[in-house]
Amino acid sequence: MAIRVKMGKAVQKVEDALLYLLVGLAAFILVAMLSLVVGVTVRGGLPVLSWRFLTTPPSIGMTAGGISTAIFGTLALVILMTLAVVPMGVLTAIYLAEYADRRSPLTRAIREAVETLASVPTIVFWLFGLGFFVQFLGRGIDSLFFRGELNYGQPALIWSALTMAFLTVPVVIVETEQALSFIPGEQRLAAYSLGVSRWYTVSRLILPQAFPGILSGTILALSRGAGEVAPIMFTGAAYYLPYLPTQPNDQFMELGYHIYVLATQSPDIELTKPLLFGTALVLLLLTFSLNLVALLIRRAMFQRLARHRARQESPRTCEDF
Amino acid sequence: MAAVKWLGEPKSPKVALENLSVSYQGRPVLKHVSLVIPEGRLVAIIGPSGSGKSALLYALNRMNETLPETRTEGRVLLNGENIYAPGVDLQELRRRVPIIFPRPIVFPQSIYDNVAFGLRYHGLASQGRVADLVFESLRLVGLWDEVKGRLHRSALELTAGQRQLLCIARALALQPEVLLLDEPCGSLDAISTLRVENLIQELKGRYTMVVVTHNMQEAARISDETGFLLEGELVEYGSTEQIFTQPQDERTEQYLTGRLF
Repeated sequence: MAIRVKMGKAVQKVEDALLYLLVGLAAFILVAMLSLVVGVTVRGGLPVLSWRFLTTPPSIGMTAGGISTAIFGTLALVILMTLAVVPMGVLTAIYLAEYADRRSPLTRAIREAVETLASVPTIVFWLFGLGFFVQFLGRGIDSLFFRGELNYGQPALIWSALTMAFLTVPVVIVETEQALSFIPGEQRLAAYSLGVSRWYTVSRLILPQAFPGILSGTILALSRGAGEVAPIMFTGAAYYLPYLPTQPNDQFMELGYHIYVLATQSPDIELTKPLLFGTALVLLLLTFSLNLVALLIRRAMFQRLARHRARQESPRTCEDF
Repeated sequence: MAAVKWLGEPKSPKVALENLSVSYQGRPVLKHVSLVIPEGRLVAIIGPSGSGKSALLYALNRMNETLPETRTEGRVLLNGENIYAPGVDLQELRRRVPIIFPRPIVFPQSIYDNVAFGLRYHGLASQGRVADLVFESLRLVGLWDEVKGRLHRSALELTAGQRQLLCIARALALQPEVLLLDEPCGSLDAISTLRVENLIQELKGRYTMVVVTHNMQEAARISDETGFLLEGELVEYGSTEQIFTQPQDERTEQYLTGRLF
């Protein structure tokens, strides 16, 4: 009996060691892959990275010059996208967290829709954007306001931004809803007991506390949007533009799409290779830093809320400290 | 059910419960309770855990409806008007009949904003007068001297006792008529408890108050009238002195002497 117990322990030890090895290996592979991606990009991109590279447009058939137009286009895209995605996402999250009856079929349907939206392949958004925004909405606007003259019924910045907003809205919804649900329910109860309306409670008491969550959700959406290419191909992104977009119905250049173009459509692959890596590095830095900021905001918020919760639950009882 | 009759001297009724029954998720928690709360009096509701004390309190400003699957039958008259009648303005009802919870739930805002929270919503004062009402409420609960120098600091800096006083100030700022207190000292230490109890006694006469407590000494110390609830039934209701010295019902006596839990 005693020996069998010992045998069992030995087997357990081997199992433990094996599992430890596997877990360690998995973690190592993950870190190694990331280091490889970052390393290759940095090694190839760092030599071309300069102020000039960031502030001059591409020239000589995109074999020389910088990426200023692509950076501008990316910024214009994500700013327009934010204007659309924040109200849409935050209002949906408020509805789900503060108003909806969790068990009603409608709420469940909305939740399912959000989850499904988050898992739709990005190329489908491109198709949707082209079909719905460009063909349907754009053409509709043209025939209504421009007597059929082509203004909005073509790929444009605004359509790309809206398509991208649909892609990134689940991020904002999930982050905001999480922040809202982290706020103790008793605060709502205390507010209702003073006879104030639900919207007053949400807007004056709940939303201010959830603000960091909304902010980090927005930044994550920004970073996701800045990194996606599929939804903007043929809905607004241009292969090459000699000018900057100034109207919502202008086309635009974009970092991710620029990488794609440099990699696949280059007239001279050797000449464009450094530019390609430089662009990739800029995009990587942009999305990494956005993610980092979101992470820091989120951590600060949850720490503050946890501290607040702890203080609510065990406030100092000594009367005069 | 024991016959409940009012033993004190007749006064104008502020709140009257008529045959009030409440059930949560099909489980009855309050059974055919009738009682009259006279204007300006302090009524304590005592009884063991789960006897329906809080259900009774929550029924008085319809906060019970914020819980899922609640059914309320019977009538509750506030100044003679049924608060369960259709078309009653719930927000105005809760302004007139606010409730204080066992745990002091302050908002993570400044001390000033906490007190001004409901005040601003109900538009009880013009912009310039909000501050006056906030100060007045803080003076009324005796917090003024402690907080006057830090009105715009976070309310989370206050101690538990100060927080509960702040919660009471927040409710008083709404110029209520009836104050509902659900174990107001339930989470406080002895010193803070004394402070809150003293305040409740000071407020006596100015407001009609209903206090739910499982602390019999507290009920005996502060209240004018006491009702004893057991398993959702109002066993006995009368002047506190009479309930505590000559209870009419055997069960009341058993509870008061610690033989019934």
